Amino acid sequence: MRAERRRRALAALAIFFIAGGAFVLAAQPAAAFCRTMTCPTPPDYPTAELCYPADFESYCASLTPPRRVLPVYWTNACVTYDINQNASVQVPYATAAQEFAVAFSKWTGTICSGALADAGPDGGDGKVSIDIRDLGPVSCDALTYNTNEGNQNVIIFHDDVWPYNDANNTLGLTTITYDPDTGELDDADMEINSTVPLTVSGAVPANGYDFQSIITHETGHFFGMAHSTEGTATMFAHYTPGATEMRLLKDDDMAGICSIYPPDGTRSVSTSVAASGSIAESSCNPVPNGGWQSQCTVPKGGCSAATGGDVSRGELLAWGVVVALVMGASRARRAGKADGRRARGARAAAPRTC
Amino acid sequence: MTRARLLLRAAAAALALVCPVVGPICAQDAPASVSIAVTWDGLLRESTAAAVVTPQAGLSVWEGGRIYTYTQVHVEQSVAGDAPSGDAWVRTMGGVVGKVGQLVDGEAVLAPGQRSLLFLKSGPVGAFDITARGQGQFVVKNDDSSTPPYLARSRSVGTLVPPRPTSAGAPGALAADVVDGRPVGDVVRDVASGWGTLHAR
Repeated sequence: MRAERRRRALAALAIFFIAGGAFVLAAQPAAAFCRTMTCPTPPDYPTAELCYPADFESYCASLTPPRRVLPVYWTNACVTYDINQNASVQVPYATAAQEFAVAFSKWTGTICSGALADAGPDGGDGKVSIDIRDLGPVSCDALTYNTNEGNQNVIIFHDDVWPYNDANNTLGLTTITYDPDTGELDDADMEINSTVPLTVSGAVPANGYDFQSIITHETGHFFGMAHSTEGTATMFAHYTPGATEMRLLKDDDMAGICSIYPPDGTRSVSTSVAASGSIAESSCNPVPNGGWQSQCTVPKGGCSAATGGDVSRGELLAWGVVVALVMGASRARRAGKADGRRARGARAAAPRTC
Repeated sequence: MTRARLLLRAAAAALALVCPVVGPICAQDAPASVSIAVTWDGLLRESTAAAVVTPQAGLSVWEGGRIYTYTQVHVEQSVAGDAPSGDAWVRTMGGVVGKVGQLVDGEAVLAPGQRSLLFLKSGPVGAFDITARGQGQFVVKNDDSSTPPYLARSRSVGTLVPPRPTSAGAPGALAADVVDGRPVGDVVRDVASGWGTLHAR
């Protein structure tokens, strides 16, 4: 009887270990590529070693607002992008269109190897099951996402002013928009800081920033790839000026894109989204969420953009007061009267959002 | 071999089989930007304040077609510039509002309770942005009570490329190299001395 109980306990432990612990243990670097998750890794986590920390789920749950840990993916069999019609003085529209077509096609033309290769529904050419379409020039010159109106996965060059606070540093920036309950990508926009000299054609000087290398890396992010732990991969998080190696996908990059979009037309997702760990792609529909449009939708409602789920300034202010009161009370309890007086005296007002 | 050992071996074997099936969570992580590594002088010059802070709670909002997260931070130590005392708001790109999430690679990540030295710029009224995004954040680490707390470079910086040499010569020491692994007190002193020189002009 006791032996039977022990056997059952061990079996239960084994099942728990497999079901619950697989997430953590599988993080060992059997594959160096990493996928973008719906939660950012902790700022002190060395992603060059493993994709994410062992306590990633509890860490993400502690964030405000809490995040789930889900890999991101496009469900659609074909995804679209649009380049701003003005492109850049450094990279004219025609050149940009050509360069991005090349960069995207490196990923969508990947032929998978191994077990994935023969799984294609068309007899198995082994190609990844995601395609890309350039919908042409658009007038939109700002990053926006609208839940109620048309969208575009826009590529924008900023020739004059980089609109963020790091004009001297960022060369390329991809913003992805996703469903936080599934990880499905809804939108991806790319911004290129063309206030910085880029090498678009010809030999790349020793201190030059190779445009094709940068956008090949960024388009990997567009598809849901994160930085790889493999030092030679295009998706590795370091680039050496003058180098062009990142133009070419390595085995690790290809293994990554094949794992997300295998040739059999499925998408590998979190087992919390689909118990099998995969879902079927949706048939090719090149229209972005909410419909396609050339211009950026003008935000409604004044300074706070009227895209989906807006929080008004009033709500933010009210929330700020609540947070301040709660935090002030708890801190005063912890730190005693002296600290409490200091905290109350220096309470920050909630920011205005425009 | 006992039945228990057999079961454990079976579990290990099953785990090996499960990993490929749960491929999406076998290899994953953070997202997408390419940035030039910021120099120490550049970071100080471009900042209007520096402070050691502890993030508390945040709220994500739509603003100009983007999601931003405003995090309330408690200022533990005002290091330089117009850093506030008490509490302040720090704005970062990305977050979750309702059924929409946004991720912007290279942004600082402010986790509640995790102390950081932040280099700040005035942002929207009443809030600060972090200078050079993730590169302006240095996490305070305290591995061992016998050693003083030290600072670690942020890994949430996206892809980094070295800066180009300037007309004056080499671009100067990188901020991450100056700060990483050094005691908080030492870095605070360096900030204070460098600040006076770079902001006196």
